[in-house]
Amino acid sequence: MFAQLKFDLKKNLFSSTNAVVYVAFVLLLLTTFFLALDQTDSTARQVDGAYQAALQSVTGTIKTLEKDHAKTAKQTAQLNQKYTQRDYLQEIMTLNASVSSPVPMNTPTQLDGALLKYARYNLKKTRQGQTNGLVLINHPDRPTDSTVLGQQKEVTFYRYLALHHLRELPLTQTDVPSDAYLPFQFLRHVSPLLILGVFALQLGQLFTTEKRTGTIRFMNNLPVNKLGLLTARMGTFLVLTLPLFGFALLTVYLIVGLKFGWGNWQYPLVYSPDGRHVAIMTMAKFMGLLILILLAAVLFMMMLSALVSLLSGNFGVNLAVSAAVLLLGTNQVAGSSMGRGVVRWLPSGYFDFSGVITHQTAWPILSIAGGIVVLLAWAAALYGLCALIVSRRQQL
Amino acid sequence: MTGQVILELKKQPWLLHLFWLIVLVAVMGSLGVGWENHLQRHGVGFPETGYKTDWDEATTTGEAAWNMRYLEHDIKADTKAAAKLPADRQGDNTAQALMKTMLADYQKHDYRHLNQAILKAAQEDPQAVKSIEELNYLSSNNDELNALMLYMVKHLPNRLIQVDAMTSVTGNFAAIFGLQNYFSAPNGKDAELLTALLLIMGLTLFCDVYFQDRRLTTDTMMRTAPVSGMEQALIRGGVTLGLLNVILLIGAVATLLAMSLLPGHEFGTWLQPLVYTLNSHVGTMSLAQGLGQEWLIINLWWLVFAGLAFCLSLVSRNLLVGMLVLAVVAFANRLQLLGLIAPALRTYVPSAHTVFPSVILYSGSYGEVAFGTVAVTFVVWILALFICGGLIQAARQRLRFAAAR
Repeated sequence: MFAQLKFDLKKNLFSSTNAVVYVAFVLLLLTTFFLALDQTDSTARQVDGAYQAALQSVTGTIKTLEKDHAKTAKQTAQLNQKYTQRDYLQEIMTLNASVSSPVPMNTPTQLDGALLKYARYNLKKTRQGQTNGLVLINHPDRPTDSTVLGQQKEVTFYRYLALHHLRELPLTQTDVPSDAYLPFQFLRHVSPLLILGVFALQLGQLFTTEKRTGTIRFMNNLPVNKLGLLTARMGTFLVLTLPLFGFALLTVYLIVGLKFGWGNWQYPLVYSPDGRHVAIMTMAKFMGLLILILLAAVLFMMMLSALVSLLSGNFGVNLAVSAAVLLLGTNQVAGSSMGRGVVRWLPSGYFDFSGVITHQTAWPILSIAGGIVVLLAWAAALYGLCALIVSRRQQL
Repeated sequence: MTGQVILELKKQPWLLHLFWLIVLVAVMGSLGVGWENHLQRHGVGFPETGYKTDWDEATTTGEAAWNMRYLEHDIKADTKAAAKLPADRQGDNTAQALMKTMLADYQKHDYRHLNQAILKAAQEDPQAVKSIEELNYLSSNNDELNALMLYMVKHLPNRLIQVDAMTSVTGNFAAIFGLQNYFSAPNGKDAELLTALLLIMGLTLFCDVYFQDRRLTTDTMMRTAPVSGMEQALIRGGVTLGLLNVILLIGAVATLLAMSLLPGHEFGTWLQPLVYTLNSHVGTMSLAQGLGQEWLIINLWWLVFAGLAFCLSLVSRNLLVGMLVLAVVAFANRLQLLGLIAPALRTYVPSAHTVFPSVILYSGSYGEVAFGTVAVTFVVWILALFICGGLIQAARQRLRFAAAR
């Protein structure tokens, strides 16, 4: 068995496909980096604009209310509320300007504190049901959520930032330090289906090469079980491609790190695991979970490609089947009314890795662990099917 | 020579051709029928009815009815607003007079007079025309509206661009290629999908045919053919390009057929105008010309793929190497790789030109880039690639002879 794996590795170790796969991974993961090189990031300006817009809305209301001399009690209360909001927002604006200036007079923690105070104020009012006069900041990187849960998310987020002395990194920012770059890339910029597609390319090539070059007859004469041959090929794939993906991640990490700094793995991602409570996940945990679920998905893709290779030796057919399965994981299919009913039991429901981890897929799913179990169960079932086909073919 | 063409035809990856034919017919057909049947449906809501949108059917008659309804409402609203004005400012209302003429012409189906009336008003009183919402839809730029109506009066006097662009089969067919510039329709996305599909089709097919021989180790046998390597490469590329065009033609005909079978739509004419602004000069072209230019760019792209795949197949046996390089060239813009090239040079790289409707209608960043510049850029690249391939081939032959001696 190991001899077979060694033989298989020898055949594929210096294949140019490995270089192709590596380059493809790196290019897909570096898109945002190239964008940041080409265009100056405008996120800081947009964030400042969002603060400014909120403040202008408040001052506008104040002006109108102040003009009216015969105020009712309600109007006076409204005016007082607007004064409070103005104070909060003015503090945020001043601190933001100071923190962003070339010679900062204040620390990011102070800005986080100001934003936290405002978020707490909004949460309190939302809890009391007084949402009418609230002015929420329209952060450019996330939809404004006026529910209690949305406000809780804001409070939790800024409290964490203030506690850990971190500066907010909007998801839309392109020149982020490398610890945030990779998670952001998966969270926002690159479709996981493309990453899995690159894996599918390597799989298609590995599993069909024998049939295409006609060496399958020679392989079948080896004193190894046919399932052993297939399993050794799977081993080759895992030993070659997973480290390639790892190297690609490392390359991107280093390139971005050297240009934009290294950042902090403690940076938070705020999400709601059940639609009621708010939780914080660090970038390190996010990447860990992402790699786990990606591994499960890759195992599934591998079994699928192996099974197809038993039925057809055509590279294109193999790739088309993989692509079709990946397309089932798109929003249009999995999120459709027909898809929503069954997709939680299908591997396709779990290809949107970041969506699964932050519980934000457009269709119902099981938990992260449940997703990994579903993927692995399907992989096991496909492997069983491969074994069945091979054993039937070997019967005399 | 004929024998070589027949051989290349026999060697074509027919399964892959069939696959792309099915995908293209499915995508083009669903886009076309979708545009005609639903996406271009027009509706309007007025403040009086609480902005509740009243939808008209997406048919030729439905669109005309929508235009009339819109005019009737605006005339009424205008009369009401005018009544409130002081007496000295009443009376001279060109916009209202024009709207009334338009409505009467709609009702009489006298489109010839309608087009002339709009043209006259656009030339004489642009301000009044600007205040008519119904014409603003057509183009908010008076020069463009002028050019458009001039074209209509001259070439298609008895047709209505307002109705044709939205509901005719030809108008909707051009729209799936992104060639529609009225009514600010959200056509970018659909054209993007179709463009990407056409590019991917080309890159897989050209990679497959050029890498085939060395993959199947039939390249030594091919050297016994009585034609030179360069001729073989050109014949192979030509045959594949021809087949790709056959696939595109079948896709287009099938789509047009499906779209014509939908009830309630006139076929329209290929002479419908498209309007553009190049170097601040307004011009018009027909749908036929626009579609022809798009067909030309697609073919130029496919030839770039042919040249690249030819060169790469000489230096690598691995199909995936070819596919990766071709995909990076085709999607460099999406991968943000163009950012690494100086902005002034980007026009001269084929990778920059993947949004075909913008190139043809000079929209977006193409306001000052003539179509000819883009076409010449492509031709130069194609020639360079084939010459480069020829040189590699010659060098390899020389090495082989040296080794044999």
